[in-house]
Amino acid sequence: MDATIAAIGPDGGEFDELRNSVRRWCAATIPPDWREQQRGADHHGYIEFQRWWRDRLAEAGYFIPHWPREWGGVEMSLPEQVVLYEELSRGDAPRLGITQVSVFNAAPAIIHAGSPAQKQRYLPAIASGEIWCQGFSEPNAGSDLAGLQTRAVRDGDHYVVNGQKIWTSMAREAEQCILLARTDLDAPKNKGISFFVMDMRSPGVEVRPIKNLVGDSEFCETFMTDVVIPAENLIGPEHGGWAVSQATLGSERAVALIGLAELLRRNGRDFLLTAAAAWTMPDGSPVLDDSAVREAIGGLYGEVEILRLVLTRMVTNLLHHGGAGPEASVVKIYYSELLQRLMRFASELHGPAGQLLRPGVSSSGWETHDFARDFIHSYSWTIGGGTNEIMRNIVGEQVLGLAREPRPEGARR
Amino acid sequence: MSAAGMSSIERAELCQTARRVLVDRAPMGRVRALLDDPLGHDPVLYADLVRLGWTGIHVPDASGGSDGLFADVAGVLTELGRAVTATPLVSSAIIAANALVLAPNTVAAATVVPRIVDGTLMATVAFAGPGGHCSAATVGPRWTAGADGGVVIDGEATFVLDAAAADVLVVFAAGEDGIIAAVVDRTDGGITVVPTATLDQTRRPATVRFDRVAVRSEGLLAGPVDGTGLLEATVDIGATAMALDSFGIAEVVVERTADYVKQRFQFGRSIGSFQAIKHRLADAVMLVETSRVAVDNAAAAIDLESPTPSSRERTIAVATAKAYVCDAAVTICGDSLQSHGGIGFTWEHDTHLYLKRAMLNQAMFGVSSWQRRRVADAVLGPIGQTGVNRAG
Repeated sequence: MDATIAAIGPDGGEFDELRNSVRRWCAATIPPDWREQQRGADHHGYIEFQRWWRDRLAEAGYFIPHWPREWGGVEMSLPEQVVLYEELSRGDAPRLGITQVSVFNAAPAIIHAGSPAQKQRYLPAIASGEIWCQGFSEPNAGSDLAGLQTRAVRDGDHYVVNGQKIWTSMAREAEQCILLARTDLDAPKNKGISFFVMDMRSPGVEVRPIKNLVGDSEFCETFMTDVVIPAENLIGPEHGGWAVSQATLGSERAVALIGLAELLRRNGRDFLLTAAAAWTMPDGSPVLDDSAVREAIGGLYGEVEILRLVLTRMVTNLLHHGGAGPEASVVKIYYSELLQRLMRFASELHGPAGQLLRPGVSSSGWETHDFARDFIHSYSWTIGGGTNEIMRNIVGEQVLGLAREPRPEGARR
Repeated sequence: MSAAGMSSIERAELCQTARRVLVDRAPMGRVRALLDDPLGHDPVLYADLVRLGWTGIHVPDASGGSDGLFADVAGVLTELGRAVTATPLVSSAIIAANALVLAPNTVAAATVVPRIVDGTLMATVAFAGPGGHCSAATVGPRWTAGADGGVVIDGEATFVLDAAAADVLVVFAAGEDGIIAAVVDRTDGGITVVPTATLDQTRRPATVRFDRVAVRSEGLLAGPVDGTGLLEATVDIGATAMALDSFGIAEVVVERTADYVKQRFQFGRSIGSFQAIKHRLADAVMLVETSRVAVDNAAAAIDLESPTPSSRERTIAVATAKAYVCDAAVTICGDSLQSHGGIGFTWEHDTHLYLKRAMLNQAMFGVSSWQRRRVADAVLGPIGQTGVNRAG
C-alpha cells in the first residue's frame, strides 16, 4: 500500500517513480532461481554469490544509498530508503550479509567519532565492498557487554591486545574488525573501554568457525594473542569506546527493518497462506477450513500489518525528531516475537512433512520457506542484537523510568 | 477544518483540550459519583461537550456538523476512555449519528442529526439480539410490512447503550426480505426500556422491547436492500469506537502502573526494579505502541473506504484493531491489578473501573474471536471454499 509512504514523505508521486524503478531493477537483476542455486551452497559458494549481489546493488546505487555523495552514496532520504528496502523485499532479493557490519556498524561509528584521516582511510574501502567483522561479545560478556575482558595495553605508538571474541560473523573473510577492548582496569566498567579498528591479517589473530544449530557456520570465535594495533586505529577518545559503540545504532538500521517487515508479510505470512492451502489435518480435511486455524490466521494476519504500521510510525518519528530512541527496542521485541510465533504456528500446522531435513538456503535469513527450520532460526532474532530480556529492561528503564536492578555487592559497576 | 479533515497539529490540540476538560470537569470523583446514578451521566458535562463542538466533529456541515473526518474525532474517543467518562456522546453523536448520516433516506439526517449536534436531542442504535452479539446474523428486533409502505417492529434489542437517556432510537430489524433500519421516538407506544446492570457502571446499556411498534414510511432509514450494509457500517464504527476507548484505557493504566511500581517499596527497593514487574510493564508498552497504530489505521480505514458495503480493507483494519486493542487493554488492566497487589483488589482503588470498562469494550460490537475470524474470511474467503482444490 503506497498510502503509508505518502504519509511519511511530502509527495507520494515522487516516490512512485523510485518505487517503479526499483521494481524494474529487481525484475531485471534478481535471478528468479537464486533460492534453488543457494540451497545447500557451501561457504565459498555463499561468499561468491554475496560478492556478486553486492556488486549489483553497488552499480544501482542501492548498496550505501544513504551515504553522502562525497563517500560514494546517493544521499537517499529516509522515505526513499523505506521505498528501496520495501521493494527489495517485495522482489524477494537475497539478503546482503557480508557487509552488514561494515555498513551498519563500522561506518556509522567512524562517521560519528572518527578523525578526518580515519574517514579517508576506511570509508572508501567500505564503499568498495570491504568485509568487516565486529569484535564486541565475549564468552563471559554477552548481555553484560560492558563486562568484557579483552585487554589493550598502550605501548608507545601502538596497543597490544589479548583476549577472545565470539559471534564474530564473517571473521574468516573480514579484512577489518571493529573491536572493543578494555584500556583502563580501574574505571567503572563502561568507562574503561576503547573502540579500535583491528586488521584481521595482523599476526596473533586466530579465527575458528562455530557451527550453529541449523548446521551453518555463520559466525566464529576470534582469538587475539599479543596483537599489535597502531594507536592511530583508535576511534574516538581512549576509554571512550562504549559511547562510540552505542552511537552505531543508527536510523539507517531502523529503516532497514522496514525491509524485514515486508519480508515477514510476503515471505512469512503470505507464503504460509499459499502453502497451507495444500495442507490437511490428520483427518484429511483442509487446515484452512478449521475454525481454530482460521482464528489464529486472522490474528497473525493483523499483527503482521501492525508491524508494518509501527515501523512506519518509527520512521516518521525519525524523520521529524531524529533518533529512534528506546522505541526501537519495542519494535525489536515485537518483530522478533511475532516472527517466532508465526513460524512456530506454521511449523506445527505443517505436521510431519514440515520436519524433513533439507539443506538450508544461503543468502536467506529465516525466510527459507522451511517453516520448522525458520522457527529454529528465528531465535537468532530474540537473542541477537541484545536479548529480548535486555530490551525489556531498556523499555522499562528508559521509556517508563523504572529503577535499575541493584547490582550485587562487590560487582563492578 | 476542511473536508480533508484536521491537520495533525489540530488533532493534537483537540486531544490536549479534551484531556484538560475531562480532568477538570469529569475527574475520578465525578466518575465514581455517577456509578449508582439512575441517569448515569452528567447533563452539565454533556452541555459542555456540545459547546466544545464534540458532538459535530464527524458530521457533515449540511447536518450542522464541522464536516471533519472520523480520524479527527478519534482522539476525543480515546480521551473519553482514558478518563472512563460516563457520557452518551459515543452512542449518540458517533454511532447513531453516523448511521443516520449514512442512511439512504436523507430526511432523518436532515432533521434529527442537527439536533444531535446542538445537543437538544440524543439518539442511540438498537439491534443486538439475545446475548448482546451484533452482526447481520443476530439482529434482535423483527419487522413485518405495515400500512402505507411502513413497517411494524416487534421483539427485543439488547445492550442498547444509553437507551434511557436517548430521545430517538435507530433500530435495525430483521425480516423475511432482509434487514431494515428505522428511526423511532423512544417514547412511542409499544416501546419499553429496561436498564441492564453491567459490571461496568460507567455505561448504561438497556434492553429495549418493541411491541407492535408501527413505523411510517418516512421513518424508514434503509430498506431490505441497503439495511445490511448500513448495519455493517454501524458495527464497524461501533467496533472502532470501542477500540479507541480501550486504547485510552490501556495508555493511562500503563502510566498509572508505572507510577505505582516506582513508589511502592518492598525488600528495600522499588518493586519496578524487579524484572518480573519491569518486563510485564515493558510488554504493556509494546501493546500500547502497537495498539496506537492499529486504532489510527482503523480510523483512517473508516474514512478512506466507501462506508457501505464493507470492503475487504476496512474489515481487516477494523476487525484487527477491535480484537487486538480490546484484548490488549484487558491484558494491561489485568496485569496492572496484579502489579498493584492487594490494593488493586479493592473497590477504593480505580483499577476495577478501567478493567470493567475494557471488558465491556471487548464484549460489545463483536468479540475478539469473531473479529479474527472476520479477518480470516476476508483474506482466505469463506470456509469450505479455500484450500479444498489443492488438498483434494
